[in-house]
Amino acid sequence: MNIHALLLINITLLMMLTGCANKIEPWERGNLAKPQMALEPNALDAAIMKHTFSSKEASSGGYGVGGGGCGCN
Amino acid sequence: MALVEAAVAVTDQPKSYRLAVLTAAALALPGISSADLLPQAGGVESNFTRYSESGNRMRVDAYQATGNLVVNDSLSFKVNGVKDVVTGASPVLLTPRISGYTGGPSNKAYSMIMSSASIHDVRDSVDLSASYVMDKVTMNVDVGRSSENDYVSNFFNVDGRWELNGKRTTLATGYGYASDHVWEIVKLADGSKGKASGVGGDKESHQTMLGVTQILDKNSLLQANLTYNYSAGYLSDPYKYVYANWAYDPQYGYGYLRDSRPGSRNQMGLLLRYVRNFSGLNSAALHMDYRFYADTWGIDSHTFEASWIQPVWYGWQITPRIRYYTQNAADFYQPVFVAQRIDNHYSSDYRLAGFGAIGGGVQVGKEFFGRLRVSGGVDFYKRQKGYGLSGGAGTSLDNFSFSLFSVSLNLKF
Repeated sequence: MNIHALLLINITLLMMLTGCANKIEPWERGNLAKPQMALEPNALDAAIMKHTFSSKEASSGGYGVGGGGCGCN
Repeated sequence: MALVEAAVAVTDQPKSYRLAVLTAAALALPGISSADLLPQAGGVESNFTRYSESGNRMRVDAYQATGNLVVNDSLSFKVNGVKDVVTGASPVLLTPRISGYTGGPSNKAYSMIMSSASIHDVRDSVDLSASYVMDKVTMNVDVGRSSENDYVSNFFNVDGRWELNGKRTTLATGYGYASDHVWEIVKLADGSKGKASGVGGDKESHQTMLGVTQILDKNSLLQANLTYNYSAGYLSDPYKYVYANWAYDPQYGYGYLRDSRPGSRNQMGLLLRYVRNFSGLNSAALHMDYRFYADTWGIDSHTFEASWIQPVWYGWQITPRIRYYTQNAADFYQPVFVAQRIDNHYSSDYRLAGFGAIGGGVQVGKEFFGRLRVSGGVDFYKRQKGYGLSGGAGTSLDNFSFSLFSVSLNLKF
């Protein structure tokens, strides 16, 4: 699978997502605002887990840009 | 909590005023305007994690601390520091089985040569970021440096988010650049440790990201991210060797070569994340992630993760989680080499083999006074050649496991 195929998948997903969502008023978003609904509820824990996995496996990426350093013994 | 306080405060007001205040409060709630952002609140966070590998291999004590400073509704700063203290031994190479060898583990086919147990390294990393919110657009800039006794990295990242569709959709894009230099530390003739000459080099990497986060309904949201990373330069590991029966290495002698990888690498990742609230279960949240990864070294991988965040009572929260990972081997990976490759790329690094891994753990936390949160957790990870579904070369001699114990403290101002 090359990057063009992945890009096409992402654009397709974007169109599907934005097309299928219902209208949700701001006062209906209380559940979405709960801390446990955050995509990264514990940022420091997520950071060290990702760093650990990327040090022991060949894969990285997907979650965003950033980082630096190795720590990969 | 903020929504409850806002609701109580406006109970005695006219209906239209209550609606306006509640709407404003809801829009200001963390996770709504930017579902993938940390809450815009000042505070400090700290974390200690101990990583312990099976077979008395590596042990890492990681100390992290973050400070958030909110200047006003638009501008905030964050400083983040990490110190990793690394001790133990690490695999150097595999050889055909050496009968009677006691310097490392062996199976029927291979023996593993380990580094001496005297590895002691410290990684210090610090980065400073600024975030600026302009109505529907949020911009972040982050600069930092990470250094070890054999590795240094300078990096910066910039990313932006744009909210549209009534703030139900967030588009995100980002770019990151890192300039790294890696070298080898060896024992010198006088017994001290120093930099080996002629080993290592520079590398640069460029990361880009395109993503969308979509609120599906009042209880669920979905995120899709696509990342692309291009690296060029010295991408090998200066401490790894391979067994190559035709070769000669000045340090290891006949039959050995240094790890040698291509000078560039393109990496792509597609991440899908789904989060759902269960109001009837005390507002528990289900998180499900899937990532597909592919690179130009011939590696594909699949990662599945799930966690269940369960609020219990009096601020207590318990979070069990599981993870499965599978990858195939790099094109130039073999446990040992018995023939020369045309491209002269060789690696026996266990991270480039075909394998699978299962992991899981649980975190327990409690919130005090709505501002202080204390949590602890334990995670286990088991890597096995036989767990992989993606195929490719590898050996059970590289099987290992590790555990992670962590405690963290989060204080909001």
